[in-house]
Amino acid sequence: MTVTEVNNSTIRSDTTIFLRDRLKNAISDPIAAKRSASSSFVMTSYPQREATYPLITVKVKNMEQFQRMGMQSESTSVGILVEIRVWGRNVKERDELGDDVYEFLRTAQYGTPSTVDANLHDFNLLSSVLVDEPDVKSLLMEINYLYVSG
Amino acid sequence: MAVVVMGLPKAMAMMKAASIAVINKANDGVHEAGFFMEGEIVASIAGQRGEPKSVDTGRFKNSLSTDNSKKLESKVTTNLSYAKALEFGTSKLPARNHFSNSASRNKHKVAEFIQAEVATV
Repeated sequence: MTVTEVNNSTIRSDTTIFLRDRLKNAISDPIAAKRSASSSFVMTSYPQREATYPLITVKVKNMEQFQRMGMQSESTSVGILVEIRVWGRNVKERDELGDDVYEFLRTAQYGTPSTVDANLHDFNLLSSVLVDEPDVKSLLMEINYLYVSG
Repeated sequence: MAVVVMGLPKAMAMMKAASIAVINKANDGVHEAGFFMEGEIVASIAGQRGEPKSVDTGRFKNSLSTDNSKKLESKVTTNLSYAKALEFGTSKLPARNHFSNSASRNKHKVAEFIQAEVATV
């Protein structure tokens, strides 16, 4: 399923799939040659399929209505909080992939195809939190987009 | 003909006093909200909200504290090393989001604490 823009009735799933597919195309998989067919580099959280590190997970964590677009209007402006998490085998890999993800999303706002064309406006990186485990190092980025529904 | 404005220094002093009172009351509201949020996060950890229960020994639940030492700021924190893993999840443990979900759920409640205090000025 290819998603080219986020639609009112499928905001969460469209946002998740749109970003997953864009990241999949834009970010190079460090183990592309070795990755098994049952595993994927960019996935929606939490993956049901085999997890082979490094990988990136995408999920919509929260949706919040900022305001209605006027009296007698059913249109709303909505904040979409997206969690993009980079899971690396070591700190270097995690940091490099994290930088790639941020750089891609920052520069994918305009142009073709762009997140703005997909109705995701006002890209904003809210936080980056490191969660380290003995074997897996992860970076959890929270990104906010503005979506106008209706 | 001259226009004389009377009582300007007094009016300005009153406005300054009022603004200080509003800030002090807002500060009280922020600090009350901090304690309220601590209670909400504890309830979340105890499994009384939407998140899964994260109580085994009770160490995590009892480790929360609220720091109201700064003006107009309240921080609910824990110093446990594994709190981050519970909050954000790991490769083996799903995220439990006790802090972030509590914050999202109670955003309006926090504003109400501040509004209620400021309204008493």
